[in-house]
Amino acid sequence: MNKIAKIVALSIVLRMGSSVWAQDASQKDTYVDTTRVENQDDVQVTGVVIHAATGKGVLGASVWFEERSVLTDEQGSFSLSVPMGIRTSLRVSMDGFVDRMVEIHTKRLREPLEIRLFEDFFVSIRERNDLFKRSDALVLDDEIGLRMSGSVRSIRRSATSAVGSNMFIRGYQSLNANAQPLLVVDEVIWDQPAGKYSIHDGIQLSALTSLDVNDIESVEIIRDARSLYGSKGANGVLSIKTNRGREKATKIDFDMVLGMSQQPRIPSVLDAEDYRIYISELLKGSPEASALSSEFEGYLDLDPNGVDYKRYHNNTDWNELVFQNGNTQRYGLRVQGGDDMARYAISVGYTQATGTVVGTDFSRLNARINSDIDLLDRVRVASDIYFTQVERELRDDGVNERTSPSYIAQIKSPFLLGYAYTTDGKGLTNNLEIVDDFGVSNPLYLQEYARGQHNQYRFGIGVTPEWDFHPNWTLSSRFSFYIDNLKEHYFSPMDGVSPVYIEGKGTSYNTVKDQTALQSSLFNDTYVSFEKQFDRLHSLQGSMGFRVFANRYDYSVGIGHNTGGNNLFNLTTGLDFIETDGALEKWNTASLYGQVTYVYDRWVNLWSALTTDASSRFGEASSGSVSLLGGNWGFFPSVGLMLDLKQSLPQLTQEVELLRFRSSVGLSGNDDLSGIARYGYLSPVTYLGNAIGKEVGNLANQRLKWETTSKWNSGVDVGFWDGRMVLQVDVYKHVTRDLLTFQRAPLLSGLDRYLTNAGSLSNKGYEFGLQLIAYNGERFKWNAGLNVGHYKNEILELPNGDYVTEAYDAELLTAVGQPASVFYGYKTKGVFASSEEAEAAGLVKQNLNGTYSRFAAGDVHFVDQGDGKTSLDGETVIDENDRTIIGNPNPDVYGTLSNTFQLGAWSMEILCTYSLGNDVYNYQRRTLESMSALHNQTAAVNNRWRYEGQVTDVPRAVYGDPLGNSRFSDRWIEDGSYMKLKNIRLHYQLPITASFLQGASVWAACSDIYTWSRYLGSDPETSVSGSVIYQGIDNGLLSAGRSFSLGVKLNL
Amino acid sequence: MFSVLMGLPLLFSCQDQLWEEHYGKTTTESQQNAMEVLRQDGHFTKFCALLEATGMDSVLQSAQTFTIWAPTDQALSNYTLDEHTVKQLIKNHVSRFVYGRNDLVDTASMRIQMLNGKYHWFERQGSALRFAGIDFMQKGIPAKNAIIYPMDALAPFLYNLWERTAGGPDTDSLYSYLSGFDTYTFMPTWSTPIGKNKYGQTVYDSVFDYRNDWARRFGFVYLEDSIYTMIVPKNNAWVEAYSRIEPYFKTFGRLVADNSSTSSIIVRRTYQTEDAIADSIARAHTKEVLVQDLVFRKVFDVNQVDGDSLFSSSGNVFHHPSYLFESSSPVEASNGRYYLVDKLLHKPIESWHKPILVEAEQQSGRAFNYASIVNRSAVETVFVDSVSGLSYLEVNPTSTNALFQPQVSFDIPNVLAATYNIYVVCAPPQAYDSLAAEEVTKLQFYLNYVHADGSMKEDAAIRSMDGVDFITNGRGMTRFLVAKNFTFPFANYTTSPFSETDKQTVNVKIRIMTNVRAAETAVYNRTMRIDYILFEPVTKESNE
Repeated sequence: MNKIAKIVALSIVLRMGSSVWAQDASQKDTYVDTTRVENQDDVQVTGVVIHAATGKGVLGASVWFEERSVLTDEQGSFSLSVPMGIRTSLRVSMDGFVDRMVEIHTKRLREPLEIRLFEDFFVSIRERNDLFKRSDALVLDDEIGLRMSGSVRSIRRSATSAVGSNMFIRGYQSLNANAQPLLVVDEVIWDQPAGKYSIHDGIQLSALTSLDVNDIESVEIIRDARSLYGSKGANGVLSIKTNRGREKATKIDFDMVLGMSQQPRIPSVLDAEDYRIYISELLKGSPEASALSSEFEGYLDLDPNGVDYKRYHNNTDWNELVFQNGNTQRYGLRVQGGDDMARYAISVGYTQATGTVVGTDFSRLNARINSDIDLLDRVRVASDIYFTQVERELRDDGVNERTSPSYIAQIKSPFLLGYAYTTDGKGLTNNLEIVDDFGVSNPLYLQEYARGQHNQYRFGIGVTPEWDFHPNWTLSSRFSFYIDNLKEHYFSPMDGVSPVYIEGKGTSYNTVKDQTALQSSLFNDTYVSFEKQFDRLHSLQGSMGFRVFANRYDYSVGIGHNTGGNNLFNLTTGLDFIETDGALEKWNTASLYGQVTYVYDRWVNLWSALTTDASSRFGEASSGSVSLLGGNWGFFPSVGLMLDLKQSLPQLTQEVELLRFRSSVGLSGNDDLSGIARYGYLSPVTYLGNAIGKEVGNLANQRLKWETTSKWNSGVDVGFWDGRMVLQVDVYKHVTRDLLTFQRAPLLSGLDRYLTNAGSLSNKGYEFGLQLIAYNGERFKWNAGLNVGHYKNEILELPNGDYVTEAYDAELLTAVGQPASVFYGYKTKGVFASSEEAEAAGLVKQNLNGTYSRFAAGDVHFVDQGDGKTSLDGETVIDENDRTIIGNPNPDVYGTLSNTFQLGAWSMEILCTYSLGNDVYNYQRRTLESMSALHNQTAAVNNRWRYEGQVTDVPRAVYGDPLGNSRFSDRWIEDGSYMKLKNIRLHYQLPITASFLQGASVWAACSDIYTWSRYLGSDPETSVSGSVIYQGIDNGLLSAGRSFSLGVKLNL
Repeated sequence: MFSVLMGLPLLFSCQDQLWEEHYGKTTTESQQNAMEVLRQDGHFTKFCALLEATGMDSVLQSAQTFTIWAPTDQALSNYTLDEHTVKQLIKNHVSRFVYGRNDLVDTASMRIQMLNGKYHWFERQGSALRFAGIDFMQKGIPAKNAIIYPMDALAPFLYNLWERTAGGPDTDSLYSYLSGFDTYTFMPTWSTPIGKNKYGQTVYDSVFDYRNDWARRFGFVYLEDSIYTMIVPKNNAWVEAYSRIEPYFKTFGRLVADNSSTSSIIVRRTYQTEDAIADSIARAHTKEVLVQDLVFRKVFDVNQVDGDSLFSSSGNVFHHPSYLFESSSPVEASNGRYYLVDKLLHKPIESWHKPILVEAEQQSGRAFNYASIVNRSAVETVFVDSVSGLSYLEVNPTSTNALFQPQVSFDIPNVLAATYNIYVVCAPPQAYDSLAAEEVTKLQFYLNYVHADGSMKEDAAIRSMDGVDFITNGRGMTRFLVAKNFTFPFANYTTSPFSETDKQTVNVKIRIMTNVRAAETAVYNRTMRIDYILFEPVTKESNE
């Protein structure tokens, strides 16, 4: 192995840290002209800058001390005068290399410095912004999941193109309110209205869908106690910056990506023969059984000459008909450039993808113009304008036996065909079959006639003038306006889709839904910032200002049934059971904020931030607030300290290049309240299906306010061996009080519950990051990284005590002392193999009429929790008292593992993500292995118990499941731990240089390559909702198969 | 930690392997179908041979589920192949679905239907299991589509009641009558059109609905899933009973005219009835009543009937019914039990020759003159238990003229060509109004029927019995014996369980009129209070 390089890529660490100051300072530097000032007290610092891989001197590297700089000579040597007796850092920069900060104390300098530069290949994986330029991801969420999983627990919603992920930073800071991080794009808050949802089953809306990953320059995650966003920041902040013009030279980038996604891997279901055996066995307890006991007709006909024989004797793989290989194409053109006056970045992109479910697709057209204009000597104006159009064709997704093709493919009888036979049963027609004998829809009908349109348009414009009205003071004001328009149309056809009875109304044969939603937002952020170096020891930097934010969200949804035909797909007044919903919601937020950072002698960095928020969502009598200017203001202070111990502890060995301690404490909030939540109001209600009256819809609660999260965070950054290894460890504790929880309403109110601020929870955890330069050869390089996140969520207090929420046929317990929403059900001990075993256990279930049924051979052995309840015969009763906590959806650790390699012009990146110790409730498998209905089941039910002495873990098949073998139990709770080989990217820089072509590269990527897991569903990474209480539930949403991309990038 | 995580994949078993364990077929022994298992076992060579001979082997290879109560070679050692019984034998040992001990945890026994439609008892006694009365090994042999229980004895094959009636050479009289009710209805909605013939007519894969109206009315003795006790008359019993019953239904078959002019309320009538039709009516009614009390629900011990009375499926009640069965012994059938009898012993009075009671308050078949009538309820008086049907008919005069005394006539349906004692029962005024004054009246009665000579006319008034006038009791119920041992020459039977409307008109009438002369009005009132009319059969036993 070559000589080990000994330089720390300090700038990486500084950016990863919590200091705003560090980042701002480094940005400032790029605009300051180099000058040379020398004093008599100065001392000459000499050294040599060498290439870490080759050991040779680097020519032309800039070595900076504050505003002074020198260039290195051919040997890499430099000499720079620095004031005597101070702590300082030298910055060394060179194109193609990672910037270096070298901490020195001039008093203690004895010998020339040896500064090694690493090529920019070694930028840590989470900081490699150039990767956004050759990403196969359609949406930022996927990149965050890949690179930042230790900091953001990111769980993909589904494999539907660009629907993104649910993201949680440092546990769950809420129970019922939004728990997703705040999105800030180019310093503008992208607020998500509470209760904005899609009318398509299994689709979750995400604002990030409208951002092209190629337009993103950087993403910063605010995890610590910094309270910059006050009542919006409790869940952490994703601060996204889009590309801006940096240089005067014109750069034109064109890139093209072609991709292919394979259909997901799906557990096998019964084939036609096994399925027929299964239903013929299951029918035993059905109403049809007595008629069938000596007859063979219909789908159980044995006569090959029977009229219906052909209709019922096929072997259809419905998955083949429902799934396909998807493909993606993406084109992007970006132009950056400018002159002395102005710089600009213009991009246009188009993405088109067909989904892996037949009939689904996605397209996105996006355009953005960002410009920065120096109007006067001290006045600048930045402006942004963007437009995105997203269009999708969707089908319902997840467990939905009527209209979700991917689920129907699992439950549909394999011995049927999608097309009908002639009435004499001899010839196949091209007419689609209608709903089958088992009440299951024909997925081909949904492909042919269903509609699932989703169109989203986002337009935004922003202007930010800045004025340096004093050498140390700048005034800046950001104006921004955006609209987000959503239109959705849903239609399920009349035939071929199983009818459903709507409680209290009637039978629905098909459904039409329409939604239009328009969100608009006006944003202004005005502040003054200052920066002052008082002397060599003291410096101060800070800003203060105000933010106002006016939002309007207007939506309307209409739902009707029974249109009368497969081609009558419009929502009209003549439909049955019409429901409408809608609201015009307006909310305004005003913030006054300030932050100040004080630096002492370069090694003590003390900062403080205060945000006060007033919002129209807060009640007039909310506690802990101050009434001022017509609003109720909440206070969110924070304070932090950073100590650079390497600077202050000279006794540290040379091996330790960096040692830094960080700590912060502060308050932030969660204002995810509906604008009308604090008001009492009446809701319309239909009476006897005719008259319309009004009933109490909500109780006024003027004490309603934000949830308050207090955060404490401490961390250490350590660098060893000149940067071959950098460690970052954070520990934190968050306590959220005033949770938005539901309280039982007074009986006379006519309501069940009302919203209130009560209860508390905590999150404790750690985050660990490691960057390792594993090998740095001349041609071959290897960089590795590991991120680990851990949190422990615990409910501390609930206003009405513990409660159970029912969802997806499961029971989710919210209890003090437990994490939010743990799985609460029955424990099992396998299946009784023999009657003797069952009799020895002596378990019974009480029926509704008071009689008892015994658990027999072939039934599930449920564990009695010792409540002592027995039947008259002394047998142990299994009832709801035997439920207990059977699973926890929260992982012990999660994160990423990255390895990047470079060999000459080739580079390869291998990214793994993992999550360990989390449980998943496999709801889809439950529906496919309960054996309580005539739907097709997974092949696992071939192992069902069928004879005395059979040892198996699948119980017997009994029509209607009278003993509740399929009840919510640990049978359906699985270890969701996984390690995924998520992404491999191979990149090759073509050795082309021409006058018209500055560079060209090709890359190839493969995603979702392999998952190591014990999970029995398609994908253990599954998230049915962004809401806290629904985590760890697998509703069978579309999972990802492997995908392959090929990209070309040309720099003109 | 880094190296631990690098090696993390090793901590997991391969997901493919886990999927294979969970979703793959792990139990190899049950991958063969039932025929393969039976052939391979070696104990069922004879049974397999029979299955193959009858083509049932393909059924047992099919993708269905069965429980096979498989006779071992030992069980079949004495069986010789017989085309008539082999199918019965095989299907009698195979049922659909999978049965086992776990079906008997909440019940000690259950009936399982075999492929031949027959049921066998599947029972648990302690820890032992029995099928069709035969002990067997509980741990069956699994097959992919079945569970096989080796049986060392054959399950009994029993005919059901219908099959016994149809199949017996000694019961064809009964069977030919009952099978006359068979109907097969083409069901177009259940049938599938499978093309057109050369005449352009649609040809169906036809489905017919079998229906037997007699069985619908008296018991589905051809089905296996209900249990009956049945008296099955042999041919000689049928002949004897027919000849015995037929006279009761003797029907007049010529022109009948009512020429009576004594009544002002019975209109002049004529009936045209052909002799042949009259005979056929008599035959039909005779057979109807002959078979109406053959079926009883469930099986029971004839000597231990609850309450000493037994309902036949026609609704007739037989008291101390053991006499019905005494000439025969019970024989088990697959859907119950039957008694093959040489003589039908039903007492006429319990079966077809039953008392006829006409409630006066019933409007149907009632006419009146010189009267206003009103129904009175006895619910609020002490007569509530005495007055039949809780109410009676009050007939008030509309004239004080003795020539226009109030009168009311009643149709008496279903009178047989038999002997009756005829009663009329009257109520006192207190039956309606407890405080009413005593009222007494004197009545006279007229019978109108087809006489032996074929004339339909009203007899002379009956004004007394054994020399006593028909004077009502002013304070209590009065029961007048109007006619003793009165024999009607012809039957006037009008109802049938199989026709919804009466084919004949009622031609037996009784007219009731007050018999109070002008001079008697100080003593007798002319208000009648009639509760009901009773035609009581007079049989040999009742005379004795």
